[in-house]
Amino acid sequence: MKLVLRLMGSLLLWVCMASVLIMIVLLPRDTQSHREGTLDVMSYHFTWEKYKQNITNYFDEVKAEKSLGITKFDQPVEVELSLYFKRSIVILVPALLLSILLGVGKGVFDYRHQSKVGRIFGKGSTWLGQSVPDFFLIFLVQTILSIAMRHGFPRLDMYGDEEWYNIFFPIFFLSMYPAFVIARYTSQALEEEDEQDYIKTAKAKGVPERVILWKHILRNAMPKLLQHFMPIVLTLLSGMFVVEFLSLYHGIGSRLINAIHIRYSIMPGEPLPIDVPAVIGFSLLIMVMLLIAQWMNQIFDFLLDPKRRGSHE
Amino acid sequence: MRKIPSLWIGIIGCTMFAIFFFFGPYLPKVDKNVTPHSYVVGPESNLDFILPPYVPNKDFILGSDKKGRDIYSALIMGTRGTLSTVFSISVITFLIAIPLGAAAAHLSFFRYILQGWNYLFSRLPVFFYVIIISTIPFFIFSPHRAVWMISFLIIFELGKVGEVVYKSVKLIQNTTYYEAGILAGSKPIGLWKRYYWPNCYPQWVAYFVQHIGSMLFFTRTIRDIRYFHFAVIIPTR
Repeated sequence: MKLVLRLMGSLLLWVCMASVLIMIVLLPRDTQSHREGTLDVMSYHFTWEKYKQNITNYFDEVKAEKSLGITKFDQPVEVELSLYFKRSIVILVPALLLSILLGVGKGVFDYRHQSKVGRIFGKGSTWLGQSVPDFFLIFLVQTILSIAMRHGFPRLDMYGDEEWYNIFFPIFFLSMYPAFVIARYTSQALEEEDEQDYIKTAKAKGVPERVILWKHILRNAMPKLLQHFMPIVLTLLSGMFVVEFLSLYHGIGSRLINAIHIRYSIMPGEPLPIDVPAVIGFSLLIMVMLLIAQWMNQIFDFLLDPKRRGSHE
Repeated sequence: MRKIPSLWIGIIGCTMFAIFFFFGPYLPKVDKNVTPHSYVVGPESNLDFILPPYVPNKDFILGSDKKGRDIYSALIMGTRGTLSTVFSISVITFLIAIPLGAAAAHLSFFRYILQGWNYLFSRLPVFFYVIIISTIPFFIFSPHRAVWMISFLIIFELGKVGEVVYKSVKLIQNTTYYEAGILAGSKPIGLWKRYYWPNCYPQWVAYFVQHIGSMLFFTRTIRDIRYFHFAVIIPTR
């Protein structure tokens, strides 16, 4: 019951935020320009009437068409959503799983190798991995690979999304930074747990190290690690924009940026339109993914809560 | 001190940045305005025009970009702008977040504010908020566009930092020595001076540096996708 209430709370908050977002996207965006000597000066005047008109127009259209609108490519938003969602989810979910797997493994490695040499390969490399920005890693790998290809390495398509193996590069790039972050949290949590009395007891009883590590320490450190789940998902999603941009993988991130129309220059008198239906559609899609992540977090939190487990038994 | 290599790496790195920051424009061969060159006359004759981008040579130590701007000068001059932007974001965020977090640990009113703030701004990627906000024409045409963007970043980051401060203060409030301090009759100022600050400041300083790093990362990302240069109004004749 408590769980259901919490899930509903998240949903309610989500609805509020989604409506605020739609209201921001529907702000009127036409500009005016006038001449001052040899310069054309552009300006923007906000009027409530236009805003109201924008909102009613959009919602009337949504009601009439039973769709979120038509994008600038003359496609219903839903068609594009399902296409790009499929593309992005095949890199996001594996990247999340891979980063958790690698991160926990690396964290355990760091925790077990605390000697002088072990520290360099363990904690030192984790620290290094966290401080190298992901775009730098992407450039580095792309440069090294293209040099290698010039010298007889088999030719691979590193950019775009046409080949089936194109998903591997974005997955790899996307999972690296979160993996190092998770590794740091894991080794920290393991060290904190290490000093507890029950571990000393287990060691005194002669339980093998490996069993203590995987069964006792890691299991009890889980709720602590779960606290970082949402921040990790958030980093993954913001990493998605950069990775898709740099590896030309056309997923949700690059489509949303495309819909927002980023450009170097604007001609005077030109309006500043954004692809309203696409922006609303893709923003809502990202928010839905976050809502699902939030729900998963709450459910796991509920299942792993030791107090609840204790009262059941 | 000799046994901590990371300290030495850090000191050397920070000194380099400090030199670039303070003495950047006076360093040899630095072009203060980072002027674009549309062509360079070649060594052979006057009609030998060489167009950018240039490979590294005597005049362009690290080469140039497509518009003929010297990369070496751009790097050094860019250090100033970037570092001051990032520093001001982090400093202002922490100046607001530390009192807010400490107040939230004492008064439930501030606790609710902090919680609400976090609910609002920490559930979506900051990047996502920034790209949505920066499409609003009002901000594009505002002459203080950079100030607006920086204040938005501060607003979005405030909840996260405040929460960290709140948690660290709360941790101290749960200890027995803190209770002893209360029983001995410490006033809030004394509590702050003797209990919170000595225990928390190493953690806060570490978080501050980490925050600067993440902001650096973030502004770089935004620049990548060309956001801070969103609108340039072309003068026409």
